[in-house]
Amino acid sequence: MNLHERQDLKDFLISLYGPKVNKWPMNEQMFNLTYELVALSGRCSGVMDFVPRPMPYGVSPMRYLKKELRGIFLRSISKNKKQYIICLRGVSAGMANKFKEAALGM
Amino acid sequence: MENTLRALLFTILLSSSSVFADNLILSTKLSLEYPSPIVLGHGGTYLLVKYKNWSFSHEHFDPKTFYQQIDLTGLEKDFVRAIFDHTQRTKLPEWLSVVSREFSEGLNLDPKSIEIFKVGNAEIFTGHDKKNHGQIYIIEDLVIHQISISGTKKELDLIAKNIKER
Repeated sequence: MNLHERQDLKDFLISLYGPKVNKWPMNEQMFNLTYELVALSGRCSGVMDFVPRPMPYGVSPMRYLKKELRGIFLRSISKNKKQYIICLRGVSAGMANKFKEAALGM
Repeated sequence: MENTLRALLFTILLSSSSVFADNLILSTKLSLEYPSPIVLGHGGTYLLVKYKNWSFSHEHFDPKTFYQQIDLTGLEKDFVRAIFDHTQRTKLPEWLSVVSREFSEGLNLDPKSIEIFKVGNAEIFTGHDKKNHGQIYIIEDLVIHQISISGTKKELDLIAKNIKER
């Protein structure tokens, strides 16, 4: 991920998990978890439009998505975070431990 | 014979270590007894306790940052109660009732798994999503604790039932 992509990812995750995200590494694992989170939140109308499909089961979204598509995905969720935050917050709470573990490299 | 005894002693030591419980002081009035983990992690505002197949984390509920655009200060206890008890939502302002409903739906808790009980003066709320996530909220006078479990209902109950008065 380039600098802009890492910043987009961080902005989005801060809106969900708060200021502690400032200390989290923005890496492939964080991207993949974020992709999983957005894909899981199918009930949020509109947000699923950001998820490119189809995605073969078991592959790393970070490696599967072409660089341009990855950038579009990150820009979209970061730009529209205010619109979807209420809907995504519950799903993100369910996935919180995965993010916390990834943040500590556990 | 000597080898057998050594193996027996080793087995006893191994099995006894797995029942050792550690104690997490939550406040002046509450503590949590939990099985000894494989590893502990500290992420600044949260504590992560990890086992082979499950984990739980503890942090304080921060009403100012739970939603970036909404400050829940003063409303946080009602908000938490309404996540687990739908009837509480009627007591909330309409906007907060919607936020609480959205959050609750996102958690996708199995209604049958929800338990609400008290330990001393603390209100405990627990629920599990039937898959691999559980939530425990503890409302005390001065603080709300948020415990997330990545594990089964059995593991959620193991933690919830070991919240004790000090």
